[in-house]
Amino acid sequence: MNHERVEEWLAGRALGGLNEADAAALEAEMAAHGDCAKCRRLERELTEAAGRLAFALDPVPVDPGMADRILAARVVAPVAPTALEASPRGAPHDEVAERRRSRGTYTFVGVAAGIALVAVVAATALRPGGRTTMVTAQPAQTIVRFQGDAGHLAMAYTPGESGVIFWGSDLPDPGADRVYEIWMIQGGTPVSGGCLTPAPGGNLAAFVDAEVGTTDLMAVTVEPADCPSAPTGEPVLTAPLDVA
Amino acid sequence: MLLATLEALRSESLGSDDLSEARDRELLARLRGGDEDAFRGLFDRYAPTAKALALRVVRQAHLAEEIVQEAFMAVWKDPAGYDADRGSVRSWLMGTVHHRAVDLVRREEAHRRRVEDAIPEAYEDQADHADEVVEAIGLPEERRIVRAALAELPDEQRQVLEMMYFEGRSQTQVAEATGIPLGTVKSRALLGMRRMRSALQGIER
Repeated sequence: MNHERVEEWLAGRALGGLNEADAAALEAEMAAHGDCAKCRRLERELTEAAGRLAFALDPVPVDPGMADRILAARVVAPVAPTALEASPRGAPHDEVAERRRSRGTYTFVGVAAGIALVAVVAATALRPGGRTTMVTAQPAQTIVRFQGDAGHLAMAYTPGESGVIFWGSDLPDPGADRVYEIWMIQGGTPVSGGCLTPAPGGNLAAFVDAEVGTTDLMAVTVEPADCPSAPTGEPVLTAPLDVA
Repeated sequence: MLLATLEALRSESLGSDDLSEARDRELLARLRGGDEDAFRGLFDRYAPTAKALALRVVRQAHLAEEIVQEAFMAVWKDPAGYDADRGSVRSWLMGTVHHRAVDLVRREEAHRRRVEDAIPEAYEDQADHADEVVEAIGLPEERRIVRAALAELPDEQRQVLEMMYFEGRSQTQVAEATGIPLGTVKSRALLGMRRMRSALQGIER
């Protein structure tokens, strides 16, 4: 192996400016050479030096709410699987409950890019006042703003695909041992979309593994923390999905 | 926790008793346990520099904000993504931000050209707040060292490094923009990075 050549490639890569052909050549060379302590040391040192270059710049203030928004992404309370699996209503095996359970399985906002996109679009969608608005965020992506008195909540989804991102602000604390539960109502039958707990301050960001499908009304109720499979209270937020 | 981190640093034979790095690693260890204060510590310390880097590369404040948010979201979501064998926490963080920024620039090259006029405004905004943030973040010594190392580079090497790192240009693009042969750009990048590596080694904070 020609270490000088490799070092040249590694320097270019550390700076983010390696040409595609050289990147491919570097990968091939490294793969052919196998585990190489000198290569690893060079890579580490050059990557370290490149990362330090950032400190030549004067820092720039960030949005003071950014840290809260990021933290809120993991404050969302997952549906307690034990509570659901315990089948509090006594059904030993209920396919509908099974489906609801699946829908209630939360993935903390995992796609940072998605969140960033929704943050931008939802910032518009969450403006107070007015009626439910729906806008196309990206090709085939839909943003829906909920109506009601419990803060601001919006959701983004791609029709026909599983996965809904919820983004909220100023959501009141649902109370001790209480959560917000999302309902997808089709033909008058509510199906749980899972439960959400906003961060202190009322911010919320969550990805829910559910498919909106042919739902004609989204609703949010305040429910006990065990996330019941049928609503026990009146909706505090609603969003008709009257896409014509 | 701090003592444990220092012990870990020694056992890893990193050749550094860098307290700053020890503190970063302690924060990262706590972050793995979901400690929000640890996240805020890391965020407060490095997000303004990350924003400066992203802004320098993408040249649009709102895109820079998004990049920083995405990068720190990834850290919050998966702090285990950091591999201590590959360098310091701060370099890892900046590398994450830089990678995203360069990716964005490459994808949005045409769009970037359309908003070139916005650059002076972005830098004015940066200058307005820089001093107070420098004080607040407490990394002036690090900045002094890196700036001194950059200043020591021959002009032609510094130019290549800055065009690649801060402007997100590929070596081919640097060659095209400057009229320098591609091979010369590559060798200047290598020589410049060797000097930076030497200058920064042993004085890690």
